[in-house]
Amino acid sequence: MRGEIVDPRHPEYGRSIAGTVLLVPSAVGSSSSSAIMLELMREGRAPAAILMGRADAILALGVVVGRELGYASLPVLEVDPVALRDWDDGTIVDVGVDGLVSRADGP
Amino acid sequence: MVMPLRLTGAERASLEGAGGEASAVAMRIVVAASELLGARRLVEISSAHIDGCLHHGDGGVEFAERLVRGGGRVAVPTTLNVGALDLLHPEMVRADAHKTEMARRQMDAYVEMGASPTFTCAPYQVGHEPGLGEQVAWGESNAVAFVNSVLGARTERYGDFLDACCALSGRAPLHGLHLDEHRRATVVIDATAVPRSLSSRDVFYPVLGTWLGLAVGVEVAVIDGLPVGTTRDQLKALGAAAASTGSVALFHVAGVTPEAPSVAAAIGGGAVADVRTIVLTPDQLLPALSRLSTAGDASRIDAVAVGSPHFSLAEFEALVRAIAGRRLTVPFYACTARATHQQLRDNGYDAELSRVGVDVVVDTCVVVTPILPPGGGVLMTNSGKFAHYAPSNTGYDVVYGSLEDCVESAVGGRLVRDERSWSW
Repeated sequence: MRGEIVDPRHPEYGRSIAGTVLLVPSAVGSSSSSAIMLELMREGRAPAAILMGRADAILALGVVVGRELGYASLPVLEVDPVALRDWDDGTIVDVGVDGLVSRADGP
Repeated sequence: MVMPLRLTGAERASLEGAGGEASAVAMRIVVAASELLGARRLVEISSAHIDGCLHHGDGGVEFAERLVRGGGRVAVPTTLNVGALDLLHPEMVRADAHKTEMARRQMDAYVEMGASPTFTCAPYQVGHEPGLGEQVAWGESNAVAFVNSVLGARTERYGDFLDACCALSGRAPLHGLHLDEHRRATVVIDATAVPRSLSSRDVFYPVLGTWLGLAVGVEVAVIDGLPVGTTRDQLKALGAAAASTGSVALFHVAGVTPEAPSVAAAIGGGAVADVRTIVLTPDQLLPALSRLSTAGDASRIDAVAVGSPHFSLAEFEALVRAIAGRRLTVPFYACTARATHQQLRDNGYDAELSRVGVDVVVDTCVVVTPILPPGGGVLMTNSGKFAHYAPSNTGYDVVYGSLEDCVESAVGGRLVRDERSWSW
């Protein structure tokens, strides 16, 4: 489990998500999302944070279970997808403990 | 604005450790899921079916064993889904030693917590049959579709950790298909023009299900026009295929399934004319049929696999009848539950199947466990679910046909298929 995108049809195919802030505009839909997220957390290859445009309860539950097992956790936040539209790939993002999400390099 | 989750005194006590550590962990996870889903309260469940026996990675084993160490015990009758091993015929599986050991540990952990070692995706065939209106927490997409649609019980699609936590806590988030208003059909499928000569045949149902999943996604549909005598096995196949292509968790068949004595009843009152209707035509069905076969112009087949969902006793009887004592010339796998396998041994069918060359696979199936001969080739199946998953999970190309087609092809070693028209 390397944390790389393995779907050849995905525009970011081959890219690693480990340590990134992952933007998920809408639910991934896979019923295995919880288990996959748990394994990523267990191996230290999870994203640094997940920002969901619309709550994917299955994906988020994997993080909840990982936390219960004592793995290094990550914030999972539901955000307005419209606000994220102008954030290009590579943007540095701050996710505060108060849940405030902002760009590290400006407004 | 998010409304807070309200817990009963007993639920709060469990959260605070009154029932032990595992109970508290389970309740914490059910509560977290409820908050994520926006449920206002929890519902008491009468049974559970845990899907969590497949080994995705060692984290799943840690989770299950943590619950065992914390004194975890299921609070309601609980069955287990397929595992990654055929525990009765371990020599048939070609997995690596570490995965095998971890998969076994995961299965053992749930048994230790009191779940029944059924190891089947069709628990409803081995005595686990909730009744109309019963609130349950089941995992595995075909089992969810069956228990909701054919039995009229109420579950959401539970899986990965939440299913086990519901079993341990005896609770589920009260949302979605647990509630009346979400069980009503919002789309009518008009299949009244489909000729009986097609809709009375088993081969029709995986195709109908494949089409349904793609056409309606997660919506609840009521199908109008299927024969009143549509069998449980046909509905099982329909639901399994629809759950594979479209995440369908509930469908109604007017005049057949318990919540749909009529189309009007299935839509929950209101005028049928106001509900979106899709008329099923050959133009829609034929692409679904061809989608199930990926092998192009195959003339030979290298293996046959049936039993997804797990074969019922009736399906084995049909298989024995179709083979009629002849020897099969290609590997032929029929997947089922150990309880059904026991019935086959009791009635002598197991000896007959063995004699003609059918390998009965128990506790698991060929798309989740490496059982098929390595190297790929062309796999024939009568299962919409196998057809959907086999290419990516096994490396085989797949050809879809009826059970009789599968048998004739396995006898001759060459593809034989009834090419009766699917058009009308």
